[in-house]
Amino acid sequence: MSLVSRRALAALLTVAGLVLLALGTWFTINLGSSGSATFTTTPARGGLVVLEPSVLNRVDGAVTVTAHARGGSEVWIGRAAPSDVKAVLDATQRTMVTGAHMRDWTLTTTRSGSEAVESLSGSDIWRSSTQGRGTVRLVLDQAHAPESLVITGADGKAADLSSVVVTAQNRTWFFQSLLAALVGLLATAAGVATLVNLGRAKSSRPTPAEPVKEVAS
Amino acid sequence: MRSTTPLVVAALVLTVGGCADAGALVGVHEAPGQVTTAAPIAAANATEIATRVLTMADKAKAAKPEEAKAMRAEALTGAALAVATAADRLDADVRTSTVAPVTRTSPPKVLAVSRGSDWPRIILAQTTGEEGSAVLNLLSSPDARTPFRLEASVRMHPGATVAALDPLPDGSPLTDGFTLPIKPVDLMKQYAASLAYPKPVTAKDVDATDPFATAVRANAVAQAKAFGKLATLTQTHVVDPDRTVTIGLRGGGALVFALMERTDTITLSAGGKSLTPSADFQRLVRKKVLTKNAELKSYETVVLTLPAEGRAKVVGVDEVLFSAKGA
Repeated sequence: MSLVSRRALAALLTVAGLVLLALGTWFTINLGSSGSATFTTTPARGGLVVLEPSVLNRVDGAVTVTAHARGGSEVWIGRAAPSDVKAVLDATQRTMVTGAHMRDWTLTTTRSGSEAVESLSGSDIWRSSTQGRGTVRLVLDQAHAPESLVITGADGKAADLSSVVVTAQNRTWFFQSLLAALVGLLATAAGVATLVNLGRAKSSRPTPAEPVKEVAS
Repeated sequence: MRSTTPLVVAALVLTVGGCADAGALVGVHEAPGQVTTAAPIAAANATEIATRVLTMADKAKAAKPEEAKAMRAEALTGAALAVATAADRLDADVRTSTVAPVTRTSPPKVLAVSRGSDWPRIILAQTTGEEGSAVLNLLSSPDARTPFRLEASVRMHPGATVAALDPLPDGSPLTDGFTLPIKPVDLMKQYAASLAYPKPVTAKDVDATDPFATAVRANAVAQAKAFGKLATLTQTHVVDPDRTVTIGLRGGGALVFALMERTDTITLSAGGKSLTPSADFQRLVRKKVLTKNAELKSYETVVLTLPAEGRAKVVGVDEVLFSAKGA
């Protein structure tokens, strides 16, 4: 391998190591020692909130959804098959939570439907539901994935939510983040060391000797 | 210097490879697709629904007339609602029912849940009557917004059996999901014709020797004999094709719920001036003497099993009188 190629590889290793170190450190700090990825959104007022499988069923472990209501008002959360939720809410005014951004740990939302919210608790599509005042939490264990989750107020009233929080927890993520940071650190160190060594080798290399001329006597 | 090269290459491979499939590495994947060939609700949910609906049906049955109508509308649908509403038209002292279909002494046992994510959906639940007989309860929901309600409730004949249904998580197919050697409505028409009086037609594909059919035929003969030359008796049984529900069995064949309307017509013959019917009959038509005719109408909820091969068998029948007129 030529010297130039070695230098390029070492530089690449250094950059990759730095990226890995930065990402690993960032994830370690954000996930914490419990390995909890927490995404938040503040839904628009009026209507209800629907969390799609693209948010809830992307991991194998349990996902916790927490709804915080303004003024301690009543909140109802129900989970059901996605097609059933679609059948019930097809035209209802709602905020759809369809994805998550890791950059700022937020949930991506879209608005859909125009009809007023009706009471949903009378339908038999719900696999489980819970309700309460202020903060209400529902845990999905992925056993029946895919599922959609609906958050609304009591008695068919629109939910007045200050935030909806989705938390996926996996302790392995913490160790993976830590490992990535460590690998990044080692790669950075190896890359820098290689670059330094290559630099030293170049500076200490002897000048090629002059050809010896034969002198005839 | 040569010793650093493998380290550089290995680290690069690890780094690039790890980044390329980071999602899989940390256990993040696409959401799975929805399975549409299984039961849409879990057995526990089905049991919860069946318990709620049957409790409501019990309460509606026991409620005061002014409250019963709204409660029936909330708990019943289809044949069960038609039967209960029609029976309610009779005065309380006249109303009769051969059985108390939804009375139960133990929690319902869910036998089947319809397969797939489409609508309508059904739940088949078994309960035990006060005297220990098994009762088959059919619950249905027409769409996502409408909760399950009791569509039919039939006490099984003593010794009657239903072949195995599909496991609850798999769900059971409804009519559209499988083919049968004969249409359930045609089976029911054969059974109905075999009950007619005075000219019953032998059912080819249904074993019409069940206790209900035997009793209906025997009663008709006895009644006609009692009238002698004073009056004639005709009895018809008409199948309502829109009230037939067919559930597929595990080994082929089906379990069929159907509704028939029975009409008993007593017409005084030209030579007969009047007829004094039995005390029970007098109570029903609210006349002590008949001079022209009498008509009794009943709903008959029938459950039969159609095996993959062989004749269908009647599992149980419930009969409720809903109209009695005499002149």
